[in-house]
Amino acid sequence: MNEPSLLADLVVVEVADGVAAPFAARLLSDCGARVVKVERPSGDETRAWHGDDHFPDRSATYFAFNHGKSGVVLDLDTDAGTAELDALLAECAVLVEDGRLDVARIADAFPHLVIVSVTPFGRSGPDCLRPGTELVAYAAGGAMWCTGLPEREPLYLGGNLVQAQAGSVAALAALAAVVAAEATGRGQWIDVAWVDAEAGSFDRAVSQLLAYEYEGVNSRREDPLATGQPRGLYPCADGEVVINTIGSTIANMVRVLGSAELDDIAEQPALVFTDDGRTRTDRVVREWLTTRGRADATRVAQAGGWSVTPVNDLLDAADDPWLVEAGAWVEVDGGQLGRVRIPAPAFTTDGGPEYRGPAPRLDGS
Amino acid sequence: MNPAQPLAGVRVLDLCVVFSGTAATMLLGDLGAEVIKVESRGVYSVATKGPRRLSARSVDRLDNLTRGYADREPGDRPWDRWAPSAVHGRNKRSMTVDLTRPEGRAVFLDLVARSDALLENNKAGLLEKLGLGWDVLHARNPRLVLVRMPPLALDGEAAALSGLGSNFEAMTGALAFRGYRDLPPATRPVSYRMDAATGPMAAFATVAALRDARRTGSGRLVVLPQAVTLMHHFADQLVAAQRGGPRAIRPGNRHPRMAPHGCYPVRGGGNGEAWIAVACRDDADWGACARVLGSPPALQRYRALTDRKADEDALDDAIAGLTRHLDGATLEGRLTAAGVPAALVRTEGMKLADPQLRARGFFHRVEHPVVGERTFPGHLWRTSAGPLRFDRAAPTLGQDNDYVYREVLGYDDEQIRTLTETGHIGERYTFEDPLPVESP
Repeated sequence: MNEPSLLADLVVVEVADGVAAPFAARLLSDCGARVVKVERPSGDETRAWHGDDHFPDRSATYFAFNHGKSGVVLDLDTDAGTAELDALLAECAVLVEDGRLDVARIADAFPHLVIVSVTPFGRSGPDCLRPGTELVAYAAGGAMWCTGLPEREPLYLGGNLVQAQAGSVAALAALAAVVAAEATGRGQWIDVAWVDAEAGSFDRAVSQLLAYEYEGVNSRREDPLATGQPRGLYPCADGEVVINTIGSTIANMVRVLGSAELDDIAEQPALVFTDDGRTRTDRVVREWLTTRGRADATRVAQAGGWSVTPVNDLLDAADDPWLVEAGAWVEVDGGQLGRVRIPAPAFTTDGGPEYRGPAPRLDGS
Repeated sequence: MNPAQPLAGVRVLDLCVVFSGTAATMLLGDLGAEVIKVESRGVYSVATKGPRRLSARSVDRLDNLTRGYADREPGDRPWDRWAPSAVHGRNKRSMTVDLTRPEGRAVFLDLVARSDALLENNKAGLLEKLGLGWDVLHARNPRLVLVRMPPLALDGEAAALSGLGSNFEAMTGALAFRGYRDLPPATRPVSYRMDAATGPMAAFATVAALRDARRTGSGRLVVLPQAVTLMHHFADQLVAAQRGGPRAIRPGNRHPRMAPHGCYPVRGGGNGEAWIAVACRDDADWGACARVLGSPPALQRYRALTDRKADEDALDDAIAGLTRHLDGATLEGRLTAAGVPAALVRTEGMKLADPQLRARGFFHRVEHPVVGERTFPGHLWRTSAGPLRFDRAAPTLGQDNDYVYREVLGYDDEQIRTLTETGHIGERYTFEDPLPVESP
């Protein structure tokens, strides 16, 4: 295993549960930072997620967001625990926390320190430290209002995507603050709210905010077929594909479909926006897909310049020919989890991120 | 150094199209970097800037992804009035040069020599086709950091796949844990998490590389496959599936370890519908939630999580039966005061008025060169070191040609005249020719 050198001079202390703050620290660790994760005696709550029967060292969630770190158990409700934390803070450049620490005290005692708080609603404002979860933060900051079908309730995206987004934002903010601290000798306090990170990010949310400011009209949950040009999920012979047809590829789509029924649309792509054109196109596309599997439909459509790609489930993705060819996976020794396939390092560069070993065991062994 | 903007003095060249890349350079600009969009008068990306021509009538039929024209007026130059294009443009400058011609390439290499980083997410092979591959750029400026963000890979069959973020996202398995419980998989909503995820990760990689370059004097090549970046955001799901967890679920708004966990109808809001998201993390949350709902007998039997999970349909029905008669904002306030995670599902209008986002300085009132003063969504975090940067709105094409050619490149009048006459420098796309007569 190569040891990443990019951030090898950085020492990070993490006092956090869950996904967001631990993911921030893990990204620093991937690049070579030495991360010490401080856990309460009962352990990070995610140790009980995804693998409850194997508590506490076999949780997929805990592994995914904590691999490569070293761990220490401290009871921060005791003076001894606080003293031990302070000893760690004196030696580190970055502290990542999830809202549980007395940041004012720590900033005062360790002015060199970059402190990164990652919390659902933030550590300032009228909603300071308001409780939140993945679902609630997506409702408050994300694009939930326009996610789902028009006649149904808005839908969240599942998993921990909102928290991971906040974590990646926190990693960036932390590193930028390290650069500042190295120049000035002074730390700063970074305050990341999941809600802000979501509202400011392009999973539609940030763009819809400006669209509203421009037009005075809110986004809406859309009938995926309402726009004419095929866009979205379509069933095929062995699952679904995603289609994205844009103005300039309508003609490519018609050529790929090869149906005489769409000859007029090949001539005049804008006809796809008429009721009749939309209905016909939709029918031909669906018919074309009934006899084609995901990989086949993808190959044929892509060869003709039409953006069609397979929809994979979580195991199919590990065998997807394009992802495999792209080197998107690495198989690693996951410690208590055995051998597992995980996403390859998020970026590649000399001395860049690597998998650095299993997540810390709660008993320190 | 302004510690909130530690990249002040760093120059970043931005060759990015669409929103994964434009988000990355935006984040670098927030941190103080000078970001110069290098554009060509002869190249127009519909995906990045919207259609070239658009009737006022057609604005009414646009979907979420394509809408957002200022005052619903596309005007003669709709790209300058389109929100998705403008939203990542803050703090950036724009210059024009035609990279396909030798003298344009020479200008670009001059610029590379005076810059610290270059980010791009174009079709695979574009840089090489322009004679601007890593070897060439590195030879011209050994300190340069080049960050390339292909969807999957820079070469091979994977590099040839075309698509928007939602195409690659679905390929990674990111849709495998969403969807209405009672509807077929093809009704699952698409999203644009890959664009969201790439921005911070690419900016992070850039800052790490710049920090290293500052110490070693050497730049580096960074390759960041966007789909892999996104996979890190749900690595937990990917690993769990290999360990016997579900390979695909459609949870609706439910959660494996919480109940109730849903989106319930409420009154009010003025949008014809209103919804509240409620997540009870444990029995204490549920007890508080039930009290806020008036502790009706119908909720008595759900004391423990196992009770609530045993018949979650009935639980959700019982809650929805209560919430639909309640004012949403009042209910949100009561649940929050009781310590229960809850939030109205916010429309954009509600977010714009949200006291929390406002108190945190999320929105910025800034003058846009074409659409005037507007309220722009802003920064993804706050710092005690002071405000992140937001001192200008998105630039128009070639708006900063004068600054870049004179002040950055130090070209003289003669050089600038020649480059203008040969079509490199200008503020209009070539397809806008013949040029209309300028009024004095």
